[in-house]
Amino acid sequence: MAVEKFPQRRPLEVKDPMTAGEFNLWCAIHDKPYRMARHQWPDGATEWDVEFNPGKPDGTIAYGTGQEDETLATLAAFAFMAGIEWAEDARRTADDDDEVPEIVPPSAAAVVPVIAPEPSLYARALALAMQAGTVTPRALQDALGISLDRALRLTERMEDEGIAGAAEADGIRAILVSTARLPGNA
Amino acid sequence: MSRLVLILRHPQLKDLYQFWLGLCRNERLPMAADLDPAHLRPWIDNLVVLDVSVDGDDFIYAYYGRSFSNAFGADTVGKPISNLPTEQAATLKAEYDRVVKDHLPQARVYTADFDGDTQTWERLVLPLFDRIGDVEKLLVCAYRLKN
Repeated sequence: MAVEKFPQRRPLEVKDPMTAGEFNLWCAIHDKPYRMARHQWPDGATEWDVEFNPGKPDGTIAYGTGQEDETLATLAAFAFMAGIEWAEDARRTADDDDEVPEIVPPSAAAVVPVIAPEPSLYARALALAMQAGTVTPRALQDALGISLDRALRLTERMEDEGIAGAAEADGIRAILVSTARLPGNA
Repeated sequence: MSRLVLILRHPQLKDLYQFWLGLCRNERLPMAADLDPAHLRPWIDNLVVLDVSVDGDDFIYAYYGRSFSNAFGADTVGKPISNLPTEQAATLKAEYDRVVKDHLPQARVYTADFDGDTQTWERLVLPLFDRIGDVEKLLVCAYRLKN
């Protein structure tokens, strides 16, 4: 199949061109499991790709920029990351909201199999914290497989809701309430 | 031995150390999340970023500067230092463990044989913290010292 190549033009005013190294360093600093890498086609042409989980057994190519020019490829890679972050934010918002069970009309309930809703991320974090009697962002990060930032927000929410105490010097928060006093169990 | 103030030889490392000290102003801990790669441009090709593993027992390469990948032909990103040859891994782990434990930078000069070429390098290891004050990443920078 013939592939039409678009002419590769540099934006006229790239005063401060970004490099793949900057993209890769940004990802490393911000815990994003991506990296730009150049690959060579059999015809000798080179293009920049964005790898996911580079160097790990499940590593793969997440996005092909289709760009040979490093600056243009880096712009495309950052645009790709903006999309990933947008999707993560949208999912995080949904996870952080308390889930409201959908009301199924009786007629539909008769024919639609009832699937138990997946507990929200916050509910799972609460269950872990209640079981342990204390909570730390690191423990939640480990147990739930989420970022430290996200785990931190969950513990802060517990404090806001009076479920966990303030963080001690080592980041540990005591759980202040029993299961019976949790919202929904009153 | 930990030192409160590092005495460095290479001008680029001196500058990076000053940059890191600048992040410590007002008794703040330098956090990874606060770093902007644009501010690290002067050193970007000679930097390595390592993630401290969740159990704190290993260090995983997250960024490996172009100078090193070109010089050593290695692609270490995504791999732990425990994958390195035993002696090298032990030396690096001891150095990184100390930075994580002491919350202080480390620097050293070393001479090694690189495929028959004896070279002397100076390296600087800087801790980067998370919001609860743990070291979550290490910023390593190294330059070859000319004889």
